[in-house]
Amino acid sequence: MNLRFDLLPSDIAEAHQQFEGWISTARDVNEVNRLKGVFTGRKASHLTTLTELLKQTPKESKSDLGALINHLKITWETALSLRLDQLISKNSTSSIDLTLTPPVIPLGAVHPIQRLEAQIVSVFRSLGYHVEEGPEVETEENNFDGLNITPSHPARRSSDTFYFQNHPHLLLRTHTSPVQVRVLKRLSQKNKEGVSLLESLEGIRFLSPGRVYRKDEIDPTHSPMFQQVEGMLIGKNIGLHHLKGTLSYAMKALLGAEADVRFRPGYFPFVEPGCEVDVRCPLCKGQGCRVCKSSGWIEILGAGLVHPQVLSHAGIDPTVWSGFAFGMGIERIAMIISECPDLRLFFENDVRFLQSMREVR
Amino acid sequence: MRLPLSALQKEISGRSLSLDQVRQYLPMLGFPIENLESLSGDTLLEIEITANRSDVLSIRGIARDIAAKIGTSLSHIPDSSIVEDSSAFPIYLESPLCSFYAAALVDLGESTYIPHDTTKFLDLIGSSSKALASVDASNEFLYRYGQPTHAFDLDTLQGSVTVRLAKSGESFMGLDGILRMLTAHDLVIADQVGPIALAGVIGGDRTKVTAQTRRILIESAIFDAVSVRTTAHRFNLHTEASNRFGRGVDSSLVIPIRNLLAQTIAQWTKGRVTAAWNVGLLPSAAPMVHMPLSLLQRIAGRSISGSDAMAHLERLGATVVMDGTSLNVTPPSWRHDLTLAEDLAEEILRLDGYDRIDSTLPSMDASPLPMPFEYTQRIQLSEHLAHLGFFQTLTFGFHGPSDEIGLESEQSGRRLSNPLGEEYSLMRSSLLPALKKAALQNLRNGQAEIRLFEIAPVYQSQPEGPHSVLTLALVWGGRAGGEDVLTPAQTISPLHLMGLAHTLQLHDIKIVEIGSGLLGFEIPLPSKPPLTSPLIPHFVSFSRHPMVQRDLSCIVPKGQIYGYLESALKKVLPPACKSLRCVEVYAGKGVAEGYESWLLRFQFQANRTLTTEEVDGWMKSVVDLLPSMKITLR
Ligand SMILES: [Zn+2]
Repeated sequence: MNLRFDLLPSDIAEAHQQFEGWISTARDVNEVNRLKGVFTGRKASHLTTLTELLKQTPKESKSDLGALINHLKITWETALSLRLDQLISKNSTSSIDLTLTPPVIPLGAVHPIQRLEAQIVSVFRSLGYHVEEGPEVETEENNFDGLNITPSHPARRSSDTFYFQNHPHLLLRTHTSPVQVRVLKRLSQKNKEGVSLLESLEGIRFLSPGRVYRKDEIDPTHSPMFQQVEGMLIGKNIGLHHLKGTLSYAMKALLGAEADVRFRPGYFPFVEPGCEVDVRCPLCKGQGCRVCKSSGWIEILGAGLVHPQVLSHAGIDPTVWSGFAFGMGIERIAMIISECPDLRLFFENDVRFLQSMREVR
Repeated sequence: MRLPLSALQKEISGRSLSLDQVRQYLPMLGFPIENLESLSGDTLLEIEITANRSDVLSIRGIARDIAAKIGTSLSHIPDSSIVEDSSAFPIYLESPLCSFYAAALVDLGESTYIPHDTTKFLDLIGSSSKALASVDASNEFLYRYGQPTHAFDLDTLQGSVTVRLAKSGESFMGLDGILRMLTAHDLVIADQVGPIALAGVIGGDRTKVTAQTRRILIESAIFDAVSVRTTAHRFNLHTEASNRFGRGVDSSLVIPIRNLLAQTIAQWTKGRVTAAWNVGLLPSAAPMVHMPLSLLQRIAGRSISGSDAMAHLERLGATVVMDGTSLNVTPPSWRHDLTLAEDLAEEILRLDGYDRIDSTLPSMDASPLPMPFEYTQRIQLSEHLAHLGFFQTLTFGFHGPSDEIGLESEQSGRRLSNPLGEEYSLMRSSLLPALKKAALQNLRNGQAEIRLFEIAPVYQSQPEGPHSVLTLALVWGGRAGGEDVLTPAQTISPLHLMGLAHTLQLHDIKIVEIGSGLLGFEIPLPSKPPLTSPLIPHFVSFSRHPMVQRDLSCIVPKGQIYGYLESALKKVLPPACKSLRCVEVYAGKGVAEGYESWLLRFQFQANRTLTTEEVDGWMKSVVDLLPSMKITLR
């Protein structure tokens, strides 16, 4: 909107021109108060003159003048009160000493683990993944049975997994994989026409970030609680090449264009084939350094094609549907990238650490 | 697992195998190298083995995979056939948990010679020589070939040997000198006096071989894997034998290793094998697995010919029959992990090289779904708080009963049965105890002002188990400001927290003092958005007309509460009054004893330009009200 200064009476227009100068040279509170009377006083000021003028102005320019008056009022009032504050707050006669210590505007920080988690999520969001969350307190069924982990598997032992005293079938989830089981069971449900949710969606891809628990004593590389991000894609004719393409894209998006992934055979009961996924060391770009034990590669993910038993357990036909899943420990990745030597720092909540992890150096 | 390079080379026939090749192939076959060192003129590799591969718990098993990868064969196990005859000592298999038992008797000679190669090998592998031929030879073959064996001192055995379940109440003294009470689920080898071995786990003290032993009974058997695992776990007794039997041994080795062991011991001691016989039946071949080539193609992302697939599987020891567009595969006796077509596909790709798998993004056809509210809320709220100067903490989901003091919440359903310690035994019902600990630690570290928050679930005991509620907790306290000329020092007060809650649009917060000048609040977060949130908020019109501000300085008797004044004034103020604030409270010079000066600020705005007269009128109604509250204008 263009302000119509031409509507101003000439004396006010001239006064406005001088206003800035007068304000900045006003030596004391009295002088500012005098200017305040002249410009914005309640009686016989430029402002009251203009308000009177507005009443007599023909309709067609009334709104233009109104806008101009409003603008001038705010300009004048702001400048006057600022100058007044300046003169009152310090008995200084000139402007403030700019070499003084400036005030610090306090800034906090999101926890580095959540920030990394959010970055991972946003990369996969760009590939159409959404987030599925599940509870930390899980059933043995979802945490183990549904994931093809046999009843005698060592991970189920009370030396590895936390159980509940009065609810023997409940445990603290040892990985975020039970979210897969929950989602797959939901997707296998059929509507009245006999069409499953999975069929109507034509597949699904999602990430499940969250806290997991394992019965490890706290030391520089172990913690009874840590965070994982898992991902899953279910579709038709999904193979290892799709898994490689997806992880390769994601790692480049996260770590830079030089990031590259390498698959090695691996074993997890809920995938077949399974793989360990290495990423080209982001610190030495594959040249070999202390962090990657001079191999140029860092093991960062476990992955594989969803085991047919996992699909059929959830009521999904593995001869029609196939998919992949992958998982990573966020603290582990954070420690590798940040070269932070001690896992415990992430749980000590020392503000000095949280502050240092906020700044990218 | 420890792997001496020379021992690995010895198992490979027809080709020399360099260290570089080994270092290259092992990780690609799925055995990452953990450590590598030069030791006693050899190279010792330490590798990681996945839980599903029982067949690679031996030098020969690893060598077999390398040979398959480079297309060569294994050297023969030293030929040591023995003529088997009928039972020379009564052995009975009472339990189906032991299907086959190969036995031999050896008369030991006078020699105590053990070859240098054997002692060196045992040293490298991390199991030193026991200077007893029967023990050292048994150990050597266990590590080389993966078949555990055991030798009993024949002259200590009473009557006969039976493989049976223990009787409950029976006890057993192992080679480790520990007496264990057995259960009716533990498989034992027993003579007529009692148990002489925990089957597949550990031998017994009473019948062990010593330097005085003259005659031995050799055992090379197959025990049920689950039974061995369960017993080993029950007694927390994880031995080299239980590790192998517990995952399944190679039935084709049971007899050859019995023979090799018997003859080796006889040879080293200058004694002789007096008998060899078998009890029970060797298991039949594993069930055939049917693999359509289309499945292989789907998994690999490219076409692999039937003959290539067949060749890979045959190199791993499988028997393969091509059936049109499918392969019918009988896994070898040492691969208990190959039961599905997917398992076979993995084997083919493992030999073919995972590095040869293409890299393609899958189709994007499936509908993208919205992000869940709870996740978005957590991320946005924490970013918001970070911008407001707060640090997000990350604390464990459990704490101890002493953290619950002052919190009234049923504990029974939240209690872990096997916590790391009492201080980690309860799923927490509040985030504040952990935040308080973090805050106090930061105060001790010299932080003047504490601003912390956490967003995490808290738990309530409910009949069906712990019920989680996503919760925000926040701690603010200490001294703010005072670090520069423009920001006066101030103590954080509950008013600060109320202002913060207002900014965050959190209602009904209950501020608690948690000690050391720290204040906090905790509030469950909504699990559903208040409205279905569109991409961008719905437009609400706002006034562009000038805002009129009036200040009123009044003298108030001490003890008057601002809230009363505010609600009284709001009753007489028009809707155009958009804001009423008390911006200053002053007592002292210029204000009479027993009184305070309050500066009230009124802001008026409407969808039209307000006139001075109407604002004056509203202010007059305010002024008129003051005397009734014993308030005068300053
Ligand atoms: Zn590196």
